[in-house]
Amino acid sequence: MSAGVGLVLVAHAGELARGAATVARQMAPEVEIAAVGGFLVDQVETLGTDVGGVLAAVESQLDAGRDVVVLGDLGSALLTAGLVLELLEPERAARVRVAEGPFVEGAVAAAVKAAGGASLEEVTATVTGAASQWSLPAGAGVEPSEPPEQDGAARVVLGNTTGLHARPAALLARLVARFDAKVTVNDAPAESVFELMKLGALGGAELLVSAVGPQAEEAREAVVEAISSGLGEH
Amino acid sequence: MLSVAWALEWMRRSAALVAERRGELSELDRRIGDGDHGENLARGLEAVVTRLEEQPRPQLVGEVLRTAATTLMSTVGGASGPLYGTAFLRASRVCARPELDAQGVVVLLEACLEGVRDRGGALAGDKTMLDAWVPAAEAAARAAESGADPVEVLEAAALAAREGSSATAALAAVRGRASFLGELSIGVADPGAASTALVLEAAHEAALAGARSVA
Repeated sequence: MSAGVGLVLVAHAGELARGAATVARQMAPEVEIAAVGGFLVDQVETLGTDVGGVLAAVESQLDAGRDVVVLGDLGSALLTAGLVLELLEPERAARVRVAEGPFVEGAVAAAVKAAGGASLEEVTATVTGAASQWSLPAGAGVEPSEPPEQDGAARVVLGNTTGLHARPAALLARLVARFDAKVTVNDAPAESVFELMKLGALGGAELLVSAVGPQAEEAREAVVEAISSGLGEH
Repeated sequence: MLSVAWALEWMRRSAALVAERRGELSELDRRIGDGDHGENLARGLEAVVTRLEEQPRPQLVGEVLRTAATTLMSTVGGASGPLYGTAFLRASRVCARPELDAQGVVVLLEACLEGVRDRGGALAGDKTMLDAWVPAAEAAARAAESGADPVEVLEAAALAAREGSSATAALAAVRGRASFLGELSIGVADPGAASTALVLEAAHEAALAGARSVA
């Protein structure tokens, strides 16, 4: 049985890879995220990607029993990742995916997904899906609209001051992943950090939480409790 | 027939030719890429030559190509490392013999082409090194079919790669970082296609030199 999914972030500069990993880890500290960036020439880091370094990072995650999703910052990082797949034994390569999508957003989305226990395919798909996340939040620049009425839904006031930004959104997404239920917040699927962020909900906003599925009730209660208490913030 | 000695000479001449023209390659790359192609590839090929000198003399053409592949992968940090690395890795798998005849050269070049195509995902006409590899492999196959010897097959391949490389100047890039320039990349040849033409020119020169020394 797989010990979950780990990430390998490949960038042309070490600081870019490490920075993206830091951002992603803040959202999902329990996920193993390796950062491989830059290329050493005579012990000095130059811009580039390192086949050997990526191979070592991927092998180390595989050895620990994890499946691996590799993300790259530019096309040639993906070439490097593709070559690493070719160099692995086929049965090990089958546990690795090269995900195409935006580097930072993809890393964050993948980390949150992996923290929720998602499969290799699900984590890979979320990276690709992250490309569509950079539209403006619905209702940006206009007055927030009233959430629609719904049966079996609960209204709750967002209890922090800074609103539903990245960290609280990630916390919420990870919370709902624990339940066998489909939870929405104002129609946004609560398992998606980016969909939650796109709501543009500010502190004090009233949100409508609904849930369906075997654990709908528990999930809704937990989400309402988390939102009203400010999602770990004040 | 082309021997292991030819393959070794190919790598030495590739390193020398790319080193000599590194400024030109990097200038193309500065205009439509990140400006390091000449330096990167020259350094990588120099490392290939060093590695080949250090190791016991290979018995098979494929062994030379495998060393070239693994060395380029570990010494070239740009896209050309994985691309040339995959090309030579694939070629090494189909050249596990001490000598190549004309058809063997075609098989080698087609394996390189497949490697570049699979790794980069580009199509002919995308303004990439594929635009040199595709005409080279096709010209080599035509030459071998019409009864050319290995030296003539490589001559046909080198000429076709040169023409293919020059023709990339008229194309707009749709792959790699040059694609961010789009139409602005028109007028400058693709650096990867240009280096491919040099590497195949070196293959032909090495074969010519071998033929002369035998004659």
